[in-house]
Amino acid sequence: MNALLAFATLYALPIVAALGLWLARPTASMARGMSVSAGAVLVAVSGWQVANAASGEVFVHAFGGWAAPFGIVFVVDRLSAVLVVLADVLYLIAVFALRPGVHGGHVVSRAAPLLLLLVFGLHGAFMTGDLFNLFVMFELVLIISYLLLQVPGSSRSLRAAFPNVVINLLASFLFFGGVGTLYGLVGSVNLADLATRLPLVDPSFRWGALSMIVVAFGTKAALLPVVFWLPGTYPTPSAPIAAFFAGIMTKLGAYSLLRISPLLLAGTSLPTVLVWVGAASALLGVLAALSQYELRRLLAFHSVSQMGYVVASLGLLSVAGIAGALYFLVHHALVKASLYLVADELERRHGHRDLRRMPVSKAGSSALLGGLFLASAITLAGLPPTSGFIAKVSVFVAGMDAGAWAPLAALVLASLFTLASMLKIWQFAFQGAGSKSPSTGHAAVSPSPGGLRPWLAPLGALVALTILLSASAGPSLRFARSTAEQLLDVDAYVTQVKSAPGHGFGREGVWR
Amino acid sequence: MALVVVMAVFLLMSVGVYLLLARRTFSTILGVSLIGHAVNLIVLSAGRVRSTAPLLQEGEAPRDVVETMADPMPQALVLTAIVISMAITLYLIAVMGLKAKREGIIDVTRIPESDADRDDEEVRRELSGALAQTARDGRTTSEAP
Repeated sequence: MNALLAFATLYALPIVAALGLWLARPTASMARGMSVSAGAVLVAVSGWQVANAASGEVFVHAFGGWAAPFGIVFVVDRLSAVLVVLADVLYLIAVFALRPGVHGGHVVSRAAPLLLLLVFGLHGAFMTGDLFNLFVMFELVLIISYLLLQVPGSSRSLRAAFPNVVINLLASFLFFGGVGTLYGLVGSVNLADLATRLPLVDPSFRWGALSMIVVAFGTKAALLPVVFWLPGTYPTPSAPIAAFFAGIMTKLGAYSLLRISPLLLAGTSLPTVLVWVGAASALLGVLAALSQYELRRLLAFHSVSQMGYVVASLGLLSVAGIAGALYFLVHHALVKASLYLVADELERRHGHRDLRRMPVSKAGSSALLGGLFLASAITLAGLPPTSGFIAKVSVFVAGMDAGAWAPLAALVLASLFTLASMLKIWQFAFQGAGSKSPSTGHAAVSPSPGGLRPWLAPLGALVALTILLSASAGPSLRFARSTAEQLLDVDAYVTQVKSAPGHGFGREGVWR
Repeated sequence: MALVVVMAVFLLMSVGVYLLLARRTFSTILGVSLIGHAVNLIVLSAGRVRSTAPLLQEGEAPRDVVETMADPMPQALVLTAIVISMAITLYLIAVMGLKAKREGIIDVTRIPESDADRDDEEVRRELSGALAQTARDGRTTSEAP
């Protein structure tokens, strides 16, 4: 397999499979089977792509042969490859966990093509080397996520989707305005081209255009002042879909910030702003989480807090900071998805989303579920042997190296509260702290006969992946470091993109 | 010419924000799309709005033509953005309009956001995916058996 074939598969397979699912209208279980097999192929191909990118090779594809500043280029380096494989793994686990018998046949057959289109949008966003193309992919992801939010068909899903789509749409306009302003300033939307020309622009104009883009990405990453689309959104869709959303959607914003920080933001005051905003959202997000009683809403505020760590760390713009942010990002995607799968099982057992209405008696044979929850919870809280601990330590060390003591203090405080909020879930859902008030709801599903546990395989796989991430901390962190070095080496990136084979009229460089 | 664009942006933006803040779902959707058009105009003006010259000429273009030429790139970008925002606006209106017509809702933000104010039975059916079936059959959630 060569890199072009892998790229073409990752680009075309999701959209072809989505169209096939849409046109063929298979039964729900067939749709699930097709999604799972498409997901398995995607994971295999993107896994190969990571191995290929790990050697340091950067794959650049100029669409239609139009060379860099004129055509749209797709660039796959270490960072892109890691995020693509992360999206595919989460997709595979989400569609595997989405069962017609458990979540409803109509939910599965409606969600299956949409989830594939979402994967297409995410792949495009992670691999593009063009700022305007990134905007198009953002919009695609937004439309698809809006459709997916409507799948449950309740009035609550309508209520939840509305602020989500309005806030995200306004953020997209801001992004588009920023891209247009950048084009007006330097005459390009290609990231590599922007990186070389932007330093020549008047600093105040540059700051204005870039801050519009940073606010838009911050909205996608759910940073503090612009977070309010997120907490209402994640409690409503079927939980495997919510697990996929929680795992990857905020990562889209974080990825975009990671991508533009060394290329465009270096030399402005914006990375420092990101450190402070990240630290503030880490602390205030977890305080908001602590006050929630609805399980998935609590976890959604946790995402705000954890994304704060990622953004604060990448804002340091050091090798250690970006490596820590990347490791943290992968760790958080896996552990948050597994917590949502636990939440799914708990909610359907109790027929309610509220922690206070989860009496412990009904959870009956939940020792295994409790164990898997505990494993995920201590990973998220960052107790020593887990990947959360390694992620937090690498972020803290990067903060100490940079001497950013005040944001560091906020992050340390936030991790204490994270532990407290995990203990809150444990107390209510597994220790029966809320069982004094008898529940009037009925269990949505009776426990499966014959000890069959459909939730065990996807949840177990996610927990195993987080354990693997902590067991392979050394190689993972080395990979994260080399990714960070690759990201910070702007000159190499520009050279690789501009020397990509293309035969458009831009080959001779009309503008240079 | 640039002044006209600036005034149009100002007008669209202020009307858009006014509509966005109204407590009616349909007004909010209209407001968002007006703000989108204001942004489109901003981007369009990045390619200059004073053009008279053609993009390509036979032979070497004279210097003054190149100086006053409009850049077609932002126009292409804006075209894409218009198509995208049209799709989103249409979808919003379709979903909100259908829902509002069926249930008489003017402001979706009045729908309870937490399950505390909802029927236990509805929550249970939503969690098991049964509501998707009902919604597909075109009945309202309250009529469900």
